[in-house]
Amino acid sequence: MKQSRTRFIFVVCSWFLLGVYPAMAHVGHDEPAPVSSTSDHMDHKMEGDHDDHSMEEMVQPEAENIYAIGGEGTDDFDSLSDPISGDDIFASDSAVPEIAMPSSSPKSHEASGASDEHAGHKMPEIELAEHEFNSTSKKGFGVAMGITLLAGLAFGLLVSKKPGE
Amino acid sequence: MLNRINEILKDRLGLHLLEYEIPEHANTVKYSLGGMTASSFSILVISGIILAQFYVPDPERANQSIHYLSDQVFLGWYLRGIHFWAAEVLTVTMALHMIRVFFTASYKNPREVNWWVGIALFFMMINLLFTGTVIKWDQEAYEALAHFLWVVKKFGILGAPLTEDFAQGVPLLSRIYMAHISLLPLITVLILGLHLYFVKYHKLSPLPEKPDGGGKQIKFTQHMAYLRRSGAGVFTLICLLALFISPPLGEKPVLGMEVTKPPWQFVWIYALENLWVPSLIVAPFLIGIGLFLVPILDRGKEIHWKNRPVAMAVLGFTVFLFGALIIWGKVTTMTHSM
Repeated sequence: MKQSRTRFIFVVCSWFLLGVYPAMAHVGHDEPAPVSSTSDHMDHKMEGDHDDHSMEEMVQPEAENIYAIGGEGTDDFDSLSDPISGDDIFASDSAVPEIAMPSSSPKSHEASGASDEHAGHKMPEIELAEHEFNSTSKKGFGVAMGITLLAGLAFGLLVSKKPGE
Repeated sequence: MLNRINEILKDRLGLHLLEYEIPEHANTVKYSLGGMTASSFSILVISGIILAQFYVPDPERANQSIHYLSDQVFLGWYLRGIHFWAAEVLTVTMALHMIRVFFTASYKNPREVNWWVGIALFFMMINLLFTGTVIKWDQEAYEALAHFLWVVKKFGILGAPLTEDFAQGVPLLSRIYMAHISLLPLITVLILGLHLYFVKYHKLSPLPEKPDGGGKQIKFTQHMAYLRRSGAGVFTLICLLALFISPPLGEKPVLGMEVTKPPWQFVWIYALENLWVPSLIVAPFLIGIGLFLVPILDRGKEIHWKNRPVAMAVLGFTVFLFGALIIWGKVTTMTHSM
């Protein structure tokens, strides 16, 4: 009786040491990435070369951790651990993310490129979004083409056979 | 084997109830435009559910999340393209469907209520299109929202729930996103259900050449097969467009600037606004009233287009006017500001 109890305890401890502990050992060894404002990063990007049409290049530095509050160096595990802003929008002391809307009174807006009455005040250049032809280098273009072909084949089959009609 | 499976399903799912008879002309493109619109809407819902997994409804990161989806996520650009082009196809098929219904006088007795339900559905689709434009949060989106807020604030307390002041601390973009993915689709589906119920209840409107009905009949399951074929065609077209042409997507907006034009579905009102800014409020109101009054003003028994010259003149003028305003809005330059 005493021997079987001892064996039981040995088995439980072995299970704990060999199974559970190694899994728990991976917790918390990465520090959370420092908070940086992605909007500041984007603003900095916008002040750069606007002739460069490639949006992909503007986005790429942030691409690895789109959901992270921090900037570089965070791995996927940590970047998904806090998918929302760390700011508590309901806290009175925190900065409330508000959209600065123009007031309803008319303003003297001018289209991009027009002359400005305020000498020396640089008007921000806004690149208007247009339709573009998709490059074949887009991620998954081949698969997308396959899906489109399949859809076309299915439609063709339905047109030729007209099942159920 | 297939027949046996068919029989099993029929017994258990009550599919035999779908084998009621409908006029043969249901299986034509003209009378399937509503079904094509519904197919496009289904594609929008499915693609929208997947898109929502990648969208961040925060003003600071909304635009960036869409750029990330388009540039970094495998097939993300394709998914967004499908969603965008499904909306474009839906706009076209819905407009054609409305024109067909008007042309064949299918709004007349006893289908007046279904016309009004259809108008409600039309306005829901417009709202979904608008909110979908805003949530990408680029310059075009921002200016669309700014125009909307200008209009809403003119309504005083009635418009207050739609302004940013109503829920301080909650970004307006988040509330618009909520409307786009839950409130508006829910109401739209309910109204669509009512619309389909009335189509079933009143039966398909007769051909203008045969106002008393008659003619060959087919089973509704045959019409479903036709809709399946046309739906596949719609899906193929959307996939083709998504494969080759990307929807526009700008950078985060520069607040206080007004440099973009709205999408073509709204550019007609931009053209009117250029002439007279209050048309932002007056024009949609007049259109809504006009559409509502159609079955009230035209209560004659005639349904053939040749015997309805006034109705045809109104239809022709409306289509021409909208077409001209859209073209003018696209080519004209801005002469005003909000």
